[in-house]
Amino acid sequence: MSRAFIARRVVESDICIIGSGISAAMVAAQLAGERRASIIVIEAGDDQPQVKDWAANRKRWMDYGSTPWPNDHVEGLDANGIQSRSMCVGGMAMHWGGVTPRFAPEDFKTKSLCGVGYDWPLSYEELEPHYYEAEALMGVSGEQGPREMDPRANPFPMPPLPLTYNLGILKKWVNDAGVSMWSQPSAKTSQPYHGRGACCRNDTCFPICPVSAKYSPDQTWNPLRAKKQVVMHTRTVVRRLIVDERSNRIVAAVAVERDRPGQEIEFRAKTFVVAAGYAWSAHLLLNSRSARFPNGVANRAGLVGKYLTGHRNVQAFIDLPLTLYPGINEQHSLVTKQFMRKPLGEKYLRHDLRVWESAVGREPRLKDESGKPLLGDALLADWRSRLKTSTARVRSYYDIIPARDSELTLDAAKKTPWGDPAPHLAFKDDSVSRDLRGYSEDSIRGLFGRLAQAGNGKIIRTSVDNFQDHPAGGCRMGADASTGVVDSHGRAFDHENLFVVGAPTAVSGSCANGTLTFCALALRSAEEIGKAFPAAK
Amino acid sequence: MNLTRRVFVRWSALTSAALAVARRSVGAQAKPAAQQPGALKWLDVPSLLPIASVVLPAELGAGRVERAAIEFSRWIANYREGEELLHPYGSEQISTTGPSPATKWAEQVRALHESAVAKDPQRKPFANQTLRDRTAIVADALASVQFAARVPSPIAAPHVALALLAHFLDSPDATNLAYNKEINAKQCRPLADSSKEPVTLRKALNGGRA
Ligand SMILES: Cc1cc2nc3c(=O)[nH]c(=O)nc-3n(C[C@H](O)[C@H](O)[C@H](O)COP(=O)(O)OP(=O)(O)OC[C@H]3O[C@@H](n4cnc5c(N)ncnc54)[C@H](O)[C@@H]3O)c2cc1C
Ligand code: SF4
Repeated sequence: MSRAFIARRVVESDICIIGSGISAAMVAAQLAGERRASIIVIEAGDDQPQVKDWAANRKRWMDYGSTPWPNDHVEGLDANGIQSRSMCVGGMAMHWGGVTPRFAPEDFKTKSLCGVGYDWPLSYEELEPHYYEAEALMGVSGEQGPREMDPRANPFPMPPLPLTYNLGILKKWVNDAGVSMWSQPSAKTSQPYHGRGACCRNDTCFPICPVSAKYSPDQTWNPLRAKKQVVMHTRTVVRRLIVDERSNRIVAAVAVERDRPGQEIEFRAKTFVVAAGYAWSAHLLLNSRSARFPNGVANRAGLVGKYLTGHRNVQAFIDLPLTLYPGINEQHSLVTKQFMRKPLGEKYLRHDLRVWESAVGREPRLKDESGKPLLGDALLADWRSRLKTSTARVRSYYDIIPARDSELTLDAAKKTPWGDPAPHLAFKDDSVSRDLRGYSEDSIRGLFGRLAQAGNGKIIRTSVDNFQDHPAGGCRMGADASTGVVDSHGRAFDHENLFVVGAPTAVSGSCANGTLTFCALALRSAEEIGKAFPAAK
Repeated sequence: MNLTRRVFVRWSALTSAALAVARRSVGAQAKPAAQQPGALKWLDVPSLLPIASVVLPAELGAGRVERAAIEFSRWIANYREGEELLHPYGSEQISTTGPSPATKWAEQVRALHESAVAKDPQRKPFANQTLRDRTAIVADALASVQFAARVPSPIAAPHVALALLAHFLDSPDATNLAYNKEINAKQCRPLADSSKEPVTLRKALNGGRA
């Protein structure tokens, strides 16, 4: 029998969400809570180990470097330029660090304020309520920064994670140097919260929090699935979206089950939500090519895959005449937004600043300067001789304006296991950022130097990571179809029942970890998506 | 992404080619090290303890030296070949643990014992020789292997004595000892306690007795 005659299995729902990462979890939680609609979630990857196994998995990671998330990726689904292979129920946020700053109001209007980059089609003020919803949903503990830098309508859902002994000392150092810093907001519980216990500072937030004090999307999916508020199809890869022949509505998502690769499933729904992350969302739209849409869906203006965005960082380790005890909580930091506002009259540079305890330069060693081996007491004495001062780790993400051809394309040379072209990602700075790169990195290194000097310390070393962190974009939002793939609610300009949510819709990557913003955007989309369905009782 | 790169650095040492880490092959199954016959014979606590007391600081006390030997022995026994490693940030590569070092290490322990017997006029076993003599034998053995000043991950250590030492140095006990404070890295603590200066390590580390 030829393949054409094999009947496709059809699964119907009101809302079909593609992907089960943190953005999808936000959308599903909100829609399931507020609307009467059947929701199907399609996830390419596998279910992950349950909480009962996390302590043991953490131990194996600490002992051997083994992954606490086995099978969190899909064989054959990789691509040049991706940041992480994670494709699983919960996505990358199963092993994220849980650091949740907001973007600054300036991020949404760099063009009008600073004359560079692009204005978003929405303002910080419009996103603000959704920031709070996201913080409440994932349980964020945070400290209110100075209001002019850190505007908020509501207090954080939980009080801040207290500063560790080390951060308390480091705070005094940076304050004395003229920088106002506070406890980094994090999706970690500073007190019991919605069934989760308080953080116990065992410091393995990345890659696994053994006690669920850190938010991970399973905390949303498990109850939704148990109560059958969503039906999740795992190990199922959506290959393309089908557009209705007479209208521009999406009628189906065609998927393949990894266990039955020969048989396709057609997911039909009233509304489709692409929540497949910064790489696979654009890939899916591009791969949904047809005679009517030869460049893929939602791609009338040729913008799908363009404007991939993120931020680079400059980092330094500073030797300071302080007494710190590295190991209390290396993952928590101080943060400031002081440098996220461009000073008048200066070149465009916006960056954050974070400070951590660090053990760099304080490690034991097996040989002394002369190359003589050190064992036993000699090793201990040598180690102690290097503990008289301490190390601070400082790092700034700086804002990069993405080029149009900072892009994801279909890679003709590399195929997925189902024969589709794999994505290929190449991040590129716009000429403004390219020209400013040296200035930006030198200025940040200069700041680190001044901090070191203020504390009578010295820089041990500095580095710049070449990749762009917290990747986003590829389906950016715009004021109209000439500037974006989707509108400010994530609705595709070309297909009224197609939404792209979270990271892919971001216009720029700011200079702070992006996931809280991706979640706030996703929740704003969910509000719009929900309008097509009756309110839950 | 705070710890990410630090952990990445630590474990990228583990993923380097020198460590014979395998690129993941489809369907690869993790295999316990203990499956290798005879490999663990020289890697039990009685065999490792006389090495531990050479390479670990005496200030640690006999009890904790023994604990370090027990934990290292357990670490080897629980090593699994072909186990998937945490995939690093910024890379699409998936890799797995390489072959167990147990056979090589067992051979090195046996060599220490044999060389001790050969050198001693009374042919006393390694374990029964003085700390000074044992130290000389270990130093001799280490002179024939290449290693850098930087502490490797245990699996990357070129000699079992260095592996044991590296395993200990990666433990909270080691950091506590160096700072003489109960920092207790990576262990649960009440949140508020983390704001206080860690308390001084109890003097009587010896055997954990106060
Ligand atoms: C190690 C690490 C630490 C991090 N720490 C932080 C941090 O501290 N703070 C911060 O802000 N950010 C952090 N991040 C980034 C953060 O994890 C991501 O921004 C966030 O998880 C992205 O979520 P998402 O929902 O957009 O996408 P994803 O998590 O990528 O989820 C998308 C899901 O869609 C599925 N999918 C894709 N295509 C298809 C398809 N065709 N069919 C079916 N399913 C599909 C994938 O399998 C995946 O599970 C970290 C990332 C990593 C890797
Ligand atoms: S410090 Fe420990 S308990 Fe707290 S969030 Fe991180 S891993 Fe969880």
